[in-house]
Amino acid sequence: MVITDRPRRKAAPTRPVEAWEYGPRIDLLEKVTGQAHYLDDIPDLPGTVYAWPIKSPYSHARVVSIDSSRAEALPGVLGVLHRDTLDGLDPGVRVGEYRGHTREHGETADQHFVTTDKARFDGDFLGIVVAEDLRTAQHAAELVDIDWEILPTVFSFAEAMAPGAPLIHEDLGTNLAHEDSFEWGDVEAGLAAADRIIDGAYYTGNVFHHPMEPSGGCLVNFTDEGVDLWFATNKPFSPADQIAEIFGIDPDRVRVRVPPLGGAFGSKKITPAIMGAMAMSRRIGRPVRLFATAEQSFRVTARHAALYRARAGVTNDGKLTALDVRLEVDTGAYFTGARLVTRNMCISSWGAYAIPNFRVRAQTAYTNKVPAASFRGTGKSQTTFGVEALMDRIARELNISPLQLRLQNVPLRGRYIADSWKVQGVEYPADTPPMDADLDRMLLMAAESIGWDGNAGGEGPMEIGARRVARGRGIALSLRHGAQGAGRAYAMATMYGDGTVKISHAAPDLGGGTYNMISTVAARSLGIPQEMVRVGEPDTGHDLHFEGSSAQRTTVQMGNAVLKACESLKRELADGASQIHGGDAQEWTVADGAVSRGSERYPYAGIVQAFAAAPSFEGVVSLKGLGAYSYAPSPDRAFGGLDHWAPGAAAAEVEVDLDTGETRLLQLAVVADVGKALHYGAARTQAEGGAVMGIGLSLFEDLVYEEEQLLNADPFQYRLPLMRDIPEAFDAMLIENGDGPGPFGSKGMSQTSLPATIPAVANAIYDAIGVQVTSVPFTPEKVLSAVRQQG
Amino acid sequence: MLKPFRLLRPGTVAEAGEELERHDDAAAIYAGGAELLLLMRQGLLQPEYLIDIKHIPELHGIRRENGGISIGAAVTHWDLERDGEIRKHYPLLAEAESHVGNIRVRNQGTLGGNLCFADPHADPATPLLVLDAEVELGSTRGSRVMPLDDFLLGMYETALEPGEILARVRVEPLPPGWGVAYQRIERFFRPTLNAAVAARSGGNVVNEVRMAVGCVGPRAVRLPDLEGRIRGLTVEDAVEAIRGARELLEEVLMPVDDLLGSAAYKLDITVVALERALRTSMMGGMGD
Repeated sequence: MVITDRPRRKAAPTRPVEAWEYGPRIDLLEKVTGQAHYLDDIPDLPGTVYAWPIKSPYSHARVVSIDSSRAEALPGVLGVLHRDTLDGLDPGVRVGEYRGHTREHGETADQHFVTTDKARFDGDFLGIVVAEDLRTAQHAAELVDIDWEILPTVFSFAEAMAPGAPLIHEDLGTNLAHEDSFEWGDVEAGLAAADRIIDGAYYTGNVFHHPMEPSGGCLVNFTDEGVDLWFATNKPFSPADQIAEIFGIDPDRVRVRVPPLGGAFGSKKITPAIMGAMAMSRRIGRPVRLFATAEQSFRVTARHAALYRARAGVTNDGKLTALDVRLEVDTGAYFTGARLVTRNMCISSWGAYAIPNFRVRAQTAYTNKVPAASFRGTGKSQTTFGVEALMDRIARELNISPLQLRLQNVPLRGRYIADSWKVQGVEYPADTPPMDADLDRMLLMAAESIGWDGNAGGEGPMEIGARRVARGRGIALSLRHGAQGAGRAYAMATMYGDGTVKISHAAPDLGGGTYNMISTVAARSLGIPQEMVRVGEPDTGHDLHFEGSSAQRTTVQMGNAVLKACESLKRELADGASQIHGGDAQEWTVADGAVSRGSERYPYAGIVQAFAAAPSFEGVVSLKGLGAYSYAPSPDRAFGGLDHWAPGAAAAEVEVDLDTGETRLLQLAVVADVGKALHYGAARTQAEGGAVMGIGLSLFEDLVYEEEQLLNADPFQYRLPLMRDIPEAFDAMLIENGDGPGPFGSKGMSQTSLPATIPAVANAIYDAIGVQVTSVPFTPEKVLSAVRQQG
Repeated sequence: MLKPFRLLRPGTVAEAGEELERHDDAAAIYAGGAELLLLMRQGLLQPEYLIDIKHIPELHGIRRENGGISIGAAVTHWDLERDGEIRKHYPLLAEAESHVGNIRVRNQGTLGGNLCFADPHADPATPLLVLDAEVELGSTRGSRVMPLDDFLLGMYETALEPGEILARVRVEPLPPGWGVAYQRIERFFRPTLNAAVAARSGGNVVNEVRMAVGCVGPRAVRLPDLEGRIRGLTVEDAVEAIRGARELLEEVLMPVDDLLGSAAYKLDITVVALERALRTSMMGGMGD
C-alpha cells in the first residue's frame, strides 16, 4: 500500500490554450486504433522470405572457423551469409553512425558489415540466414557451427586503459579510441583565486534506449533497379552511402522509406544485420524481411558510460571561479558515435553556469560492450549528472542553499559564456549566441512547484507504518545547445485541385508528434484547417534531403523548411492567379485559404482547378512550393552550429527507506523553455516523457556485464519505469516567450527534461540522507550503503 | 518464436497423468502458460506436446472443506486475489497473490503452475508455508497428499513424480487472534525478497509465531529455528533476536550475488522485512 501525503497534481497550462493545440494530434487516432502501419505491419511483398541473424554469444572471442553446411542442408533454407560466403562483398565496410571516424582510427576500429576476425561484444554480427519461413531461419541459425577461441574481456574504461589490458582492436595498439578537449579562460589561475576547491567524481553506467518498438528490423528488396528499403529510422538518408559502398551501386538507386516509429531515442539506425538482409536479397533475388526482437535490440546500441571527475574553484560566498573536468568515456566495442558523443560531453560539462575559467579533457576507450552511440540528449545525461551533483556538494560545503548557489551562478539573459575558447588546443572566437532564456526563472518555477524554498535539510528520520524513512528535495538545470546537426532541411508543399495540401519531407515521426508539427505549421502558414493538410511519409525517392529527426532539431529545421515551402507555394498561387485572372503576381494577396485582389477572391483550389481545366494545361493538377532551411555553415569551433540555447530545470522530492535503501519519488516538476509550443499537448508530453525516462535512468536502468556476457538484455531483467513509479504530484511546465528560431518563435525542447531529472533525483537523495550516491542508477543497495556511511 | 507442438486436452486428472506417462519428457503441463510460454519463446524448453489441463473440472474451484479451504491448481491468481472467502479468512494469501507479476499475468497464471514451476522468485509459496499448506498430487496411480514444505525441493524442483500432477492446494485458517503480514521488496518484476509472518500477540509478547522467507535462496523456506528463538519474547526482544540471526539466516537461505543485489544486501533486507512483518502482524494485521 502506497501512502503519500503529496496530493495528485498536474499543473494547469501556463496560458489559455486553444482546443486545436491540446486536442489529439493528427497521428493518434490511427495509432490507438491499431490502424497505423508500423514496420512490422507493412504487408510482405510477393515472394518475401525471412532472415535471422547469427550473433556472437561472447563479448570477446576469436572466430576460428564457421561451418554453415548443416544450416544450408535444412529444407527451406535459401542461404547463409558469413565471412566465408560473402559473394565478393567487402566485409570491412563500416556500418552505422561513424561521422568523424577515419581509417586512421584503425582498420578494425569501426563496426563492420560482417565480423571476420573476432567478436568484440555480446551480439557482434557474424552473418545471417534466410529461409522460406521465420522458424526455419531461426532453427538454421542454431545449426551454424562456430569454433570459438574465448578471449579475456574488458568492461570498463579503467580496465581498458590498464597496462597490459587485452586489446580490442590489435591494429591500433591501444584501447584509447579518441581524445578531445575544450577550454576557456585560465583554469589554474581560476583555481588559485578560489577560496575553496571542491571535487567530486560521478559515474553514469550503460543503458539501452528501449523504445517500445524494437530496433533493427527491416523489409528490403534488392533488384537490378536498385535497393528498396523500409526500416524504422530517424535518419533515412544517411544509410544510402554505406549501402552504395558495400554493394557498389549508385546512392541514387537506394530508396529508403520510413513508416511511423514506436520510439527511437537514438537507437534506430542502420545495422550490420540489415545490411546482411540486403546482401541476401541481392543473392537470392527475393525480398527479405528481418524482424527485430527485444533481446536483439539491446545489442544494437547503448548509451556511453562515463566518469565525470571535476574540481571546482569557489569563493566563500559561492561564486564559481573555475571548473576543471576530466571525462573517462566508454564507447563500447566500436568507434560508432565516439567523436560526436565525446564532443557533446565536452561542450556540456560546464553545465549551465557562468564560469570564467573552464577546462575539460576527455579520453574515450574501447571496451567489450555493445557499441554506444547517440542517446536522447547525447552526452548530456552523463555530464549534467556530474556537474549538478557537484553543485550540490559545493552548496553543502559552503552551507549555501542549493537553489541560491545556482541562482547566483547562472548566466543571465544576454550574457555570453565566453569570448573565445580552445578546442583541442586551437583557439577560436566563441560562436554561441548570448543566453536567450531565463535560467533563474526556470529554477524558481521548479522549486515553487514542489513547494520548496530551496534550502537544504531533509525531513526525518520518521516512521511511516513499519518503515523508517527520510525525505529530501533536490533541483537541477540542464542546458542543451539547440538544433544541432548538419545539413539543410528540404520540404515540399503540393496543393491539389480539391484544396488539400500534401507536405513531402524526410523527417520521420519517432512518436513525438513530428507529423502533427508539420501539419500545424502548414495549416497556420496557409490559413487553412489542419484537416486539409496531409503529411507524407519520409521517402528518399523524393530527394528532399534532411539529415534526420534527431538532436531536437526537427521543429526548428524541418518546421522552418515547411514554413518556407508554404510561403513558396503561396507565391506560386499568386503567380497562378496573375496568369489566370490578370495583373502582376505582387498585386495578389495569398492568405486564409484564398488568393485575392481588391474585391476579387478565389479559393486556393480554384486556382489549381483553373489550370487543370485549361485544355492547354491538360494534366496539371497541382501547384508546388519548395522550402529549405539551415543555419549558416560554420567551421567546427566546438558546438558545430548553434542557433539557440535549450534549457531545462527539474525539482524532485524523494522518500528514502532508511533500512532498505528503496527510493520513491513523491514529487517531480520539470520546466522547459519551448519558445512557443506549436501543439501545447505534444510539447508538454515531450517534457513529461523525458522526465519519466529520467526516472527510469535515475532509479532502475542499468546494463550489467559479467564474464563473457550482457546479463540482462531482456525486458524482465531490465527495469523500466512503470506507471506506479511516476509521482502523483508531477508537473511539466512550459515557458513561452515566442523568441525561438523555429516557426512562430518555437525552439527545440524534447531533450531538456531528461538530463535535468537525473541530478534532481540524485540531489534529493543527498538532501534526504546527507551522503551523495555517486553512480547512476541509484539502486536500493547503493542508497543503503550511503545511508550506512552516514551512520 | 515458438517451435511447433501438439496440444493434448485430457478431461480428467487421471487422463492427464496418462498422457504425461506416455510422453514423459517430451510433454509439458500447460494451464495458464505464464511461465511455460516464456521459456518456450526463449527456446529454453521445447516440448513436443502440451497437455492442456485448463478444462479439467477437478482442478478448478475454491471450496470450503473440513474447516479449511481447497484451491484447484488451475485457479488463477486473479481469482484468488478477488475471492471473498480468501480475502476474509486468508488475507496473507490474498495479499501475496495481488503482487504476482501484473494484471495480465495474474489473469492467466495459475496457483498450481506457479508452485510446480518452483521459480525461487515467486510470491505465493512464502505465505502458503506460513499457513502450513498441503498439496494434493494426482496420477493414474491415484492421489497423495504432502505438506508444501516437502513438495518444494529447490530451484525449479519439486517432489512431483513422473506422470504426477498437482491437483489441489489445501490451507487451514489461522486460529482467531493471529495477525499476519506480507513484505515484498523488488527491483525487477519478480520479488527480490518476500517475507510472510503470522503471530499471535499477548499484549507485547509474541505468544505464537510462524515465519517464512522466499526468493533469497533456491526455494521459499519456513524458519522454525528463528520462530523458536522468538516465541515468548517481547516485540523489542524479538526484533533484536531477528537482527542477531544473520548467521542463521545465511545458513538457511543460502543467498547468492546476482542482478537483484549482493548476498549481503539480501540478508540486510531479509532482516528488515522480517522485523517489519513481525511488528505489523503483532499489531494485528496487514499493512505497509
